[in-house]
Order: sequence, then structure tokens, then C-alpha cells
Amino acid sequence: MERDEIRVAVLRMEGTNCEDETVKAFRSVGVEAESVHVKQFYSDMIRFEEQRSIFDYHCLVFPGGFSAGDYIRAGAIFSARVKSALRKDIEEFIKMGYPILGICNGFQVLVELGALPGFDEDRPVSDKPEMALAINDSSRFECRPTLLKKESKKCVFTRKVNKNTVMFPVAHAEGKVTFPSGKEDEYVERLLSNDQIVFRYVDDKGNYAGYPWNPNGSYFNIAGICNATHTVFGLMPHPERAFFGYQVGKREGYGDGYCIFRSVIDYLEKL
Amino acid sequence: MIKNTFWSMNWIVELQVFQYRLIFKVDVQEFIMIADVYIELKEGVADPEGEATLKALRLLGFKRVKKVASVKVFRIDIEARSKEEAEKEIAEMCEKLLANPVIQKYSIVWRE
Repeated sequence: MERDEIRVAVLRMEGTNCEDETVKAFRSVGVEAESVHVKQFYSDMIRFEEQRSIFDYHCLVFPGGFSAGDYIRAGAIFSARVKSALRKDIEEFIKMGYPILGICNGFQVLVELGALPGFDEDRPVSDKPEMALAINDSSRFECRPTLLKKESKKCVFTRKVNKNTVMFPVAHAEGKVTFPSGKEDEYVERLLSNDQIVFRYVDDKGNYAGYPWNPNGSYFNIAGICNATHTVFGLMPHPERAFFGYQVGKREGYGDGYCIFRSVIDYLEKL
Repeated sequence: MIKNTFWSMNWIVELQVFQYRLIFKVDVQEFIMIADVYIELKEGVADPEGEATLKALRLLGFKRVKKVASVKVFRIDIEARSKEEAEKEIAEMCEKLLANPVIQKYSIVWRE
């Protein structure tokens, strides 16, 4: 696929607020991107020229924000809307090998949707969530830079990340990766054996460390994971907030987030 | 002349068909019931919200407080034939949206 053929949809809803940065990041790497309201995919109250299908696009992004005001649980209402109207399409989309990215609230949506950890390749969207993003141990909204160590070699979103540790900012109150109690080690083992753990929080020396380096108390310091096919990726930190150099205190060039967007475009070009 | 026009007119004979409809009236009453659905954290799951509240209460001088747990309640008005039927439906709601089974459990309390 040529780069200018690639179309990216950033799904928005009432309460998402990072769609513009995400669209800008994708446009800056030379692909066509637009923010699409989720109802444009299924509602019949939409004008013809604004109706969309998931298969118009080659990559879907669930952006950060506070979809539906984080009522019930963060991401629960967004995922319920997606699941009721678009479940089959999303499953097909994943099976076709197209990538899906979830940033922050988007990660919460993918987890609530059952697309992550996504162990079953034949059923990429499970009936019930298999993990949870619980309230931070600090019980606060954690908003600051974090250091992440790249763990996965296969995830299509991090193939171009050459550095060992990258800096992305976090901004969330519910981001503590939690597995069913008593089965934590079993889940981590399974994730490790599939190479599904993508980023883990580390300190400035590159060692796995607790709070404040791990902002939320995540189990096994997990910051981001992908599914079994390595094409669906969710992470709590915001790569789009470290995309341009000026966002991270550099006069020119790009920040660490650039590699994430570049990697997925690279993957799509080869598809 | 007159005869001619008389016969050229189209006469439509309407057949009246009487339709007999049998209407069975089944008396099934649906009631509106009100349920309080409690969403709690499972045992062993950390509750930072409760702990922070406990800390703040202690600071305010309520030294006898031993534990605070955060619980979310949804009050649901539901129309159903029986409580069993409604409970089944509410359980489905909890599994699909209101609770995340990994960290939360739910219970239903009926309001009179």
C-alpha cells in the first residue's frame, strides 16, 4: 500500500479530547487521517456524505479523553456503544490484520471491549473483559512524564522504536493494570510467552521501579500491551503528547512518540 | 342514447367480506419494580478511594472509623412480570456494562 493511500480514523465520542493531536500526528507522518464520531458508523440519522464504514480505513485509533464523562467506569460506555453496533466489523477488521491503537482512555475502551489482552485469535473481541484498569493506587489523577522500557519485538506499533527507554507523559486516574485475583502470574506468563507486553514503567536507570516511576501501581509495571496477533495495541501513556520536539522541550525534530506512528505506517505500507 | 350511456358505465359490485378476528386477551400484568444494584470491589482488590476517604475522616477527628469501602449504587426502574425475570435481566446488565467481573461484584436489593 502506498503511503498516501493509507486512511486512519480517530474515533471520537462525547468526552474524548485527544483526537486532534492524534490526527495531527498521523497527518505529520504523511497519511490521511480524520476524526470520526462513532455514530457515523452506524446511525441512520447521519447525512449521506458523512456516513462511514470501518472498512473505509486501514487503522483505527481510540483516542484519550473522558468518553461519556468516565461514568460507570472509564471507557465502559464507549465500549458498550462500539460493542453493540460494531462488534462484528471490529472482529473482521482485526482478523484482516489491520491495526487498532488505544491511547489512555482508548486503552480502557479496548480492555472493556475485550479486545485486550485478546488471547484468542479466532475471537479477537471477547464477551467479557478479561482484565481491568482500576483506580490508581495513589487515588490521584497522575499527570506527568513517565519512562517506559520497550519489551515487545513483534508489536507492529513499536518496531521502529530503537531506543531502549522512551519518555511519554501519562494523564489518568484509572490506569492500574489488574488481572483476576489469584491468576495474575498465570496471565503475565501467558502475555510473556506471546510477546504481548509492550511497555513497562522503569526508573531513570532503566530498572523496574515502584511509585512514582510506576504512576498507578500496575501489576508487573505494565504500561501497554498488545493482543495475540500483535496488531491491537493499548497503552496508558500518551505518545501523541511526545510527538513533536517542542512538546518535550526540544527546539526541533521529533519526540519519542514519533516512532509509534511511524512504525504502524511502515507496517501498513508493507501490508 | 340514454340506454347506451347507462351500459357504458362501470358498475362495481362490492363484495363485503366479513372478517372474523379472534382476540385472545391474556392477562399478564407487568409491574414497575425498583431495584438498587450495588457494585462493589471484590475481596482482595485494592480500594484507593475508600482508603483515601478513611484517611481524611481520621484527620477530621473521626478516630473510631475502622474501614471505608467505596460502593456504587444504580437505582433501576424496570418493568417486568416477576422479580425473577427482572433479576435475570439485571444480572445481564451487570455483566455487560455495570460491573467489570475482573474486579467488581454486584448485588441486587429490591425497594418496596
